[in-house]
Amino acid sequence: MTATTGTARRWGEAGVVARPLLPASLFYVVFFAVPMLALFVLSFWRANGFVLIPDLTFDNYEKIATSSLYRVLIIRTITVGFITAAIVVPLAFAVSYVMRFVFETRGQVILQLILLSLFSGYLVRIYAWRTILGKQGLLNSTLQWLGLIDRPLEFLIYSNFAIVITLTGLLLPLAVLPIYSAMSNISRDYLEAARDLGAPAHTLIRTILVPMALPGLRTAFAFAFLLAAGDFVTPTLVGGTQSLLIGNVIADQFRGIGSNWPLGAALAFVTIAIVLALYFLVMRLIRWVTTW
Amino acid sequence: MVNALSSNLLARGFLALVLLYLYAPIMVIVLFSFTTSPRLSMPIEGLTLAWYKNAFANPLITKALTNSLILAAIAAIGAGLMGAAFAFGVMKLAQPRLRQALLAASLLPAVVPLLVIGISLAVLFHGLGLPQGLRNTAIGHVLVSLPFVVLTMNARLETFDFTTLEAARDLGASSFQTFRDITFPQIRPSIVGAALLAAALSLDEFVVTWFNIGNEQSVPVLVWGLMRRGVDPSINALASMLLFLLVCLVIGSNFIGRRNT
Amino acid sequence: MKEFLRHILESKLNEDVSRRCFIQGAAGLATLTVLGAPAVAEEKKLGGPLNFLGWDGEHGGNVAKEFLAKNNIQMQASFQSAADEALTRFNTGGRGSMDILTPNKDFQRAILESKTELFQPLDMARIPSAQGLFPAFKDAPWLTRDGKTYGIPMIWGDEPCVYNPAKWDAMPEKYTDFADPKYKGELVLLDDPFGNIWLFAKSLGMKEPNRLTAAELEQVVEAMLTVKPNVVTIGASHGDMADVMVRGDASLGIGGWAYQTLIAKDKGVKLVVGSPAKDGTFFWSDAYALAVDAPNADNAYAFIDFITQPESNAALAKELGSGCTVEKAFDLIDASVRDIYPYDNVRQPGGGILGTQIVVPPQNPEGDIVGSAAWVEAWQKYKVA
Repeated sequence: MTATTGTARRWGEAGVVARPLLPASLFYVVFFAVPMLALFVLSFWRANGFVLIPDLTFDNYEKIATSSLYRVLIIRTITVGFITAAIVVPLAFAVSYVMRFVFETRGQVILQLILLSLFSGYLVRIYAWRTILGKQGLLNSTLQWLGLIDRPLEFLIYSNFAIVITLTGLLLPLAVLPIYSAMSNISRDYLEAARDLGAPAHTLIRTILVPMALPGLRTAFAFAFLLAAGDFVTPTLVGGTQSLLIGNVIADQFRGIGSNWPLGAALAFVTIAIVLALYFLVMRLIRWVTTW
Repeated sequence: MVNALSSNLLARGFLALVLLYLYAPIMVIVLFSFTTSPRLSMPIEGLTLAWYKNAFANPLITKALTNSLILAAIAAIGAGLMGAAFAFGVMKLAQPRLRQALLAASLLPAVVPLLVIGISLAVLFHGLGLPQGLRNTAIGHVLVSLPFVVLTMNARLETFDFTTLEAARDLGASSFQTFRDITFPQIRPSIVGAALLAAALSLDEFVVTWFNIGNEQSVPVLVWGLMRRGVDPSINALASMLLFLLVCLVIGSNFIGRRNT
Repeated sequence: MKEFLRHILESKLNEDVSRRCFIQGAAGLATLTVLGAPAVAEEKKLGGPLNFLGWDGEHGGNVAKEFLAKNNIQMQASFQSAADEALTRFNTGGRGSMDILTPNKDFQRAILESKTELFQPLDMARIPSAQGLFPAFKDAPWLTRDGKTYGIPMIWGDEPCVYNPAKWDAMPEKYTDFADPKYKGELVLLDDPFGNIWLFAKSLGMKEPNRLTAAELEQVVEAMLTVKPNVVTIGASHGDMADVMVRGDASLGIGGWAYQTLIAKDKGVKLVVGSPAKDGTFFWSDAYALAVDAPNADNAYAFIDFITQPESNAALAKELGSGCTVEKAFDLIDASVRDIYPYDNVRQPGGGILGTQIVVPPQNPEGDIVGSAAWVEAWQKYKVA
């Protein structure tokens, strides 16, 4: 065999490996990378009223760095993302565990039941939460009827509590999916063997379940964190008066009177950079903790 | 033994509570789509089908429902196939660094605010001379659901036992055969799950949709627009129908899946 | 298959219309130069699509149903959730596929003043019904530029406080009075930077509430913050605000819309309107406008002319609980809806208070006076605090 055919074959193999990557990669380049690049260029422009002026200025980034408004908003947005993820991921882990090891084969059916809860229209579901959590809502009137409270609980709606409740309802199914998928390869015998050897439950979780389901847990964290940090509809509709997140402010920069597209673009890129950096930091941390 | 039984009961109770939590708003939606009380709050005075009649009589609502289903189907199939293939291709890459880099890159659309994706796509389509409408929106939906499909599939494949594939290959099976007979049946539930996820994200998406759908309608865009004059239970009827259709779809696909195996 | 054929046929028809339109336009131009007077528009053959982007309800879904069916016009309505979304969509590829828009007066004024491309001047000869508008709406400053008219108002009104009479007998004297702890957990605002800042600037006694210096703007935000502890939530839209009040989660909306009382009535809840006696409130008006490069201008003109007829205008005003803009429509509206609004203002030319009162700040800073970007940022700061 000559060297050339060997290289050709290796290239051929690389082609076979790369083939499944092609459609999505092309799609990403055309419909994502190109527009993002254009937007990145735009973030160095200036706006004068409704007119965009090509430029190479760092003014937009400087404004973001020096304004306390954006700093507060970014911190708040990230906090919402972390809190939601901190609630959703453990909950989804527990749910997946029960589905996989208590219900076994029927777990599939439950998974579908959980995923189906997503198909009722998110906006409509937010309104339904208002019906449940409102001052005169189902929960308050039931509690009052039972005599457990004599005045309606007001923190239930238009509060951070409402944001967390609503977002968790949206994100839990999304987080269960990858964790359950990852757990489907952990064999029950393995767990039972360890249990027979006298390992307590928490040791089982720490030494077997978590490490083996790790890819799923990472994905679930990504879902919960990224979606919660990016959502601005939920805070708007159930979040009360302190619910502004960075997404709303970016939106304002692209809409009508008082808009500033270059500033909006810069704000978007700063947010993306911070969120991504934090995401990778957490992933690194998880890897470090689990290998340690 | 008693201990095992009680912990089993505990586990079931826990799952029941979680399902109750997930389905509480849905029960409210379905319930109020059948009641005469227009306030979406207690007490319930009577039952009616008027909201369904209203929904069907409103051409905007039926159009929005059809469009949303079309978009969800395209997102499920488009993102499901491309994303699953991508995740599979990434797993087969030899260099871990390249693998990590590609995965991270595929995640990016999930990090970018939807509004930014929506506007930049609209500007791109404008530049390409493609008029706004369902096609542009469908591309947007595939784009925003792709990262979630890739992540889900990746989580499944990272715990996938690839040695069985090598064994099959050693026994002379072609790579297509191994995929069809061994890989696919094992990862099928995950692909279906990921496709369902894409459909769900598509059904709820309205920011990217708004900027790209032009003079068409979709359910979330319509609901958001109707909010200026206040939503009435026709919207609940709409959501209930959507849910009902999808339940039928899932049950149907289960049935077909069982018959095939 | 049938759908597909119809689609092809329709696009053929449209092609025909646009070509005919061009020829007619050229002919019209020729007569204009020769005779020095515009040619009277001929009866146009109508039909095909008509694209609408504006507020829900203003597309005349109920009012124009028969008219649209009779003329074989398919209305493709999409609804905005903020007053200025039309501009964003126009600039991101909507141009050439948008026909009818429904700007409010201050947005239209800002667009016309800044010479931003969005609306095209209207050929008034093709909207004969517009002769019947109240004097204020014929030549109002927010509708015209260089002698050309860019909008036909269809409804108007004010942004009063809307409240539950079971909880409150009357509104206080001033907006700043809402800082009183007795309003705790009772207030709902509208997510609108301009309206809110304007009302509180007025309440603080600033002469021109839309022309503020940076220091004045800060003062306004501080005054608004004293009210914030009493606010339950900030509604995403007027309908959302109404929803919050109908559910009983709040009992008093600032910057509301009389239509909210109709929404509530439908749901068995009584709400009434009333504004702080000393501060009052501001007025708005929405108009039909034609987008630049509108593909279905014939249908659009016919629609606007139809909906500006007294009967249609009265029906629309009634449906939306707002003021009518056509003089003869006034007599067709129930006293209950009619008496909410001070019609004296629109019976005089120039637009009365609607013409002199400007709610939005200048687009760009003018000397010490801050521009609209500063107002948007101030509102964001208010919401974050």
